[in-house]
Amino acid sequence: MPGWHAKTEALQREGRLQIMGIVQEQHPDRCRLFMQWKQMGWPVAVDALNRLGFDGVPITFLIDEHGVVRFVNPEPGELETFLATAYPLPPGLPTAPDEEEVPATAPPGEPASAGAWRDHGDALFLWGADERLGDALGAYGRALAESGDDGPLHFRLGTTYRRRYDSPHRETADFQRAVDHWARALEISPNQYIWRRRLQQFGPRLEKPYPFYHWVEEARRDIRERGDDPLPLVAEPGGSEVAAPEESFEARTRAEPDAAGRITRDPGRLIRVEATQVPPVVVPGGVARVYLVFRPDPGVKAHWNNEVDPLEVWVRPLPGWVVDQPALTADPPPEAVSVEAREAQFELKAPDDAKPGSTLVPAYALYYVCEDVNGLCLYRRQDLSIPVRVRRPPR
Amino acid sequence: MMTLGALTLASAMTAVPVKTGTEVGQAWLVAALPSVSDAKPLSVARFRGRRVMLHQFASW
Repeated sequence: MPGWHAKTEALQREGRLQIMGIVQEQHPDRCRLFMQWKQMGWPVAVDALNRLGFDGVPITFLIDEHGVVRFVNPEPGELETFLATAYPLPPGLPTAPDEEEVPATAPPGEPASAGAWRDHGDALFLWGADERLGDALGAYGRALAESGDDGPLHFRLGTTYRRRYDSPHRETADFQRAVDHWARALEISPNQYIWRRRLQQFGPRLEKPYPFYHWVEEARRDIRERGDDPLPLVAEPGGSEVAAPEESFEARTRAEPDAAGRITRDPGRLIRVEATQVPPVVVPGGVARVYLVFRPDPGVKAHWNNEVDPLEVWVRPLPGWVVDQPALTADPPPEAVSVEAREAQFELKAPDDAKPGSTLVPAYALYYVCEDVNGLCLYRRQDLSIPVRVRRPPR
Repeated sequence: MMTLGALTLASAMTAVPVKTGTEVGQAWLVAALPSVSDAKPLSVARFRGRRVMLHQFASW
């Protein structure tokens, strides 16, 4: 696609060709930053739900002035042919839908088909505000009840849960539910590469074909050097989303920070912890990536104290299990105090004889936390039992 | 004979109303999706009357 950009800039300037994009990504703001970085000014729509059903990217289409597709993935010479050919108005050309007509977000009348519930969910996801995402999830649930197990519906559920996870309307386990539904969609259609990539971007590194969002920092640097401000992102990519793929599982060793267990415990009163496993089940001998997210509890006005050491996590693998980085840190922002969510990620290799079911991996977090602004600040340890799901490999 | 057959086939094909879809010869009639710049509806239909190069892509 960037190759085409250089070839078609002049054609677009001369008005001979209109360029448009449709991006198959969860986070449209990342594409906005990419376009700003590459100085691509053409219009781009986002198909986060994969409504178009394409199973891979990139695909380039040449569409004539009547809206008829003339080439798919053209060679450079075919662009010349396309521009030089006169295409007559085809008979019976359907009228194009009015793009200003946004579908209504009212629920369908009962009884409604799976397709009607799916379309209702899509309308809420695409055109409703974030507070309607719960209604979109409900609509997809109704569609699933009508249709039975369905890959595109599971993919939509995954995408909607993840979007709610990135919003202020987040509910507990939204990210894990997203991962569960994406994984189910892929089980149903293993050749759907858009769905595969959505899961792979969150790891583990052995499964990743490329880093995904490693370009973000370089883009910001280049944009600042040009004297512009980089466009903001809703969810900052980090950890697996920027990490390079790995060909073999590698464990790094570091000293345990509180081996004697002398730090006073926070039983979860000040900092709430949520764990997400990608993929949602690991086979014996396989690798899973675990996301730990730490949020100060607003109920007790807890906040981070950033003038001291960063949040630290220690993971103690069970016998036979291997952790890539048993000791992790999550760096604080420059402010003296803050309330943002902090994330730590690690990867875990299951033993070849891991038993199917849920295994609890012991870990703990060490952090500096304050109960209220200018209130008491404490150094605390929170003990964690991280559930990791294991299942037998398919025969 | 083969040329005549091909011509007949071509003329018969042009009489059939064009189908909608995303394959060669089909009319691209995909409903609008949100624009990444302002989340407002955007579709290829906006560019009727112009030649369009449409990229399906991802920033990764």
